[in-house]
Amino acid sequence: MQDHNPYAPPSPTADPPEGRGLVFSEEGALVVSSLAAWMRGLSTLYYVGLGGIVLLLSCTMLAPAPGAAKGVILGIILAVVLWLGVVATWLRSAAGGFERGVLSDDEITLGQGFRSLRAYLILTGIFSILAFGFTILGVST
Amino acid sequence: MDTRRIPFTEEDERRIASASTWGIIIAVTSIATAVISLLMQSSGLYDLLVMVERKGIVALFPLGQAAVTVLVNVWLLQASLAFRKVAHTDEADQAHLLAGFRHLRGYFMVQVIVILAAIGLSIFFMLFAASILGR
Repeated sequence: MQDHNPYAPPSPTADPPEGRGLVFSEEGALVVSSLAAWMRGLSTLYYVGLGGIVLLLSCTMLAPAPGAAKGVILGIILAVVLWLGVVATWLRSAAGGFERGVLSDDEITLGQGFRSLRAYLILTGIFSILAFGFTILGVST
Repeated sequence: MDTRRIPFTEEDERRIASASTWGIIIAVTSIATAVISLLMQSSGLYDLLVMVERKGIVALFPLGQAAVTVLVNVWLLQASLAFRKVAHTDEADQAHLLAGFRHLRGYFMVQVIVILAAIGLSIFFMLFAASILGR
């Protein structure tokens, strides 16, 4: 039996350095890679939707309409475009953070993924609360 | 079950907890909105059956839409509850994290499939309408 030598150089079994406290299984890595792929897919669809709305926006600009109505429509469309763009960007960033964090066994990068996911969920949550409010208003009127 | 603890920073744990709270808010409000909308469209099962008789399978569309919304948001709710455990407990962090990721994958996967199916159906109906008008 070998005694523990306090003067021995650090071995691979020593405590991992900060930011490397994760050891994901192969199955776990596959799940996260697949999750990241679906998240990127959804963000791509958001970007496609954004492109469609921009196209619609250019058509609205060309169509003859009263000034005030045109302004309101333009404002709503611009808000939706902005919302879609930000949501898609946060979603893509979360996907990247999760994938990089799990593949490199780094909880700091994984934490960054959660930061982006939180931002995405807040933006989606506001939309969801508004939809719920409008539904309740529809019931009461 | 993997009992490994993940050494997240306190700030990251707070963010994970906040993300899970928002996930729960989205899931609950979306399920409530879907159920209320369905009830508003058809006041009861009898009404729904009458609508199916009159309009055919198209009348089941709101029911299918509500069912998908509920399914997807139950996954989001489960994912959020698993992430909440990661933030609030120090046991089996990796197992909870993986469970959360699995449910979150289902949530995003169904959304992508539904959007692609909606785009496909729209294109199909547009081509169908164009072919009828062209005759």
